[in-house]
Amino acid sequence: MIEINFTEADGNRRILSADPGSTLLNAILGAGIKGIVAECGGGCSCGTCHVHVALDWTGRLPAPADDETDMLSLAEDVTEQSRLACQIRLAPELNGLSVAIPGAA
Amino acid sequence: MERIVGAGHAGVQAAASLRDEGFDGDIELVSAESTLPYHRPPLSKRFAEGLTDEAIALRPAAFYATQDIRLRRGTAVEEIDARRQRLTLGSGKQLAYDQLILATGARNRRLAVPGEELNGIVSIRDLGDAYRLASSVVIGTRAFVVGAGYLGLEVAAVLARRGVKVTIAASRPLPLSRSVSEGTAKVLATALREMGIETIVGADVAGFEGSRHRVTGVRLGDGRLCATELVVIGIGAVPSIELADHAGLDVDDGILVDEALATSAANISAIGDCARLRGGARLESVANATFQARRIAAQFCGKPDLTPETPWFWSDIGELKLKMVGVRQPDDVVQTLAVNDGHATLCFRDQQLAAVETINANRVHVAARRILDAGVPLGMDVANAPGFDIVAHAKALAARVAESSRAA
Repeated sequence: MIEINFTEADGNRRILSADPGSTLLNAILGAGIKGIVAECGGGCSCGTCHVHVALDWTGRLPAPADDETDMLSLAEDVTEQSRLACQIRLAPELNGLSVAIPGAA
Repeated sequence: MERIVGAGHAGVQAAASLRDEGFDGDIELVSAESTLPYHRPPLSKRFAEGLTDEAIALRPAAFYATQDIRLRRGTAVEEIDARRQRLTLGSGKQLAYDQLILATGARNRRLAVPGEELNGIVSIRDLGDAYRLASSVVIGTRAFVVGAGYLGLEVAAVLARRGVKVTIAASRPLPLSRSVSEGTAKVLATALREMGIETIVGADVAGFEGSRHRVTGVRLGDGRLCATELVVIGIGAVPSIELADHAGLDVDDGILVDEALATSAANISAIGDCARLRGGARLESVANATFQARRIAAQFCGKPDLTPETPWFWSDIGELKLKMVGVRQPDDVVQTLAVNDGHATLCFRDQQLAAVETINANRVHVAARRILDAGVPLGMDVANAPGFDIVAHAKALAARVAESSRAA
């Protein structure tokens, strides 16, 4: 199992667990995190699974594809830490990944 | 007890949003399907990829447990007693409710011609249909697609890519012409030709011919017979309103609801594909289902109403990512925008931007959504000015909105 340190909108911290190879979005939905709608089902079509990846992790993720960058281009609270959770596949080396809801306290 | 009938996008999102908003009473989703609730859009877009139940689940199984949402699967609701606030299940069991949300969705329109029951004729609505279709994909065979709407085009593109010779029977000269502008439809038509897909225009299907219970050909209205091994029917959907109708609720091409999504019966609401706003349109889209689900949850929990969202739609037709924001009207004035490797069409109504269609131009789509959602009118004169850049315009607008919310 992979563990993810997740900061919710109210600043509350949780540890999510996920199977290696699944997506970050899946872990988030399973835990019932508030503020993630993810309506398109991981197709990189809706932009509603926006998360902020901790700075010390951003460089360790595969770079976003053009589709993802485009969807994020006008998202609220977009920063260099912004990613779409549906596009992040949880390889074993991402154990301990630290992620927050944009605008988290 | 909050009961929700139907576990598609609308029903599941309503349950999720109720918990998000802090509702701590009982929630039960009643689903006629036996699978874990799933995303429907991939069924017609990605059926040939060997979809698994898990990969297209709306939420992982853990969600229902962690959120304390009861999911009653494989359970058909036979009847609603609106006066006594009770549901009767197929088993005869009765369930009481305090609030009922109908999210019964839609089902595919049937052709109603002889031979429709033959094997090898499919229409995609549920996961079983997608599996059946996937198992029928054989390189070098022929497929006949009835209807040039979203579903027909998506399926046709997948089949063509898998080496199936595809023919589409379309009622109008251009694909998707009920939904998109002529310019966008022409781009799609060209793309379909390049995929090797043939289109027969204006042909109505009179019936199907078969041998040993399996379809072998399509008989057209003019008498022609098109031999085929597979038929896919995609001629639109009708809302599932029978339960509501029998219970005496007001229905008319949908379960009629007011702005607050309330039906004509006390403590019964309707959301998603099955609901139609009185005097307004019925929208069949994931975005609408999600929005209405979130809106009703906010209402039940006494939270402020959500800001209305401009309706948006997406479709993947082979390599083409078609997106629309706003609902185009036939009289809209259209303007094409130059986009690298893609296409964008702006639709203006009363001199203002009302809808935008894009193909492989996500950045423009996102910008258009931002502009339309902000509710700040974009005049045709501004958009027509030389050097107008919609993405830069949306960025500037977003910055202004952020500034004013900081100031506030």
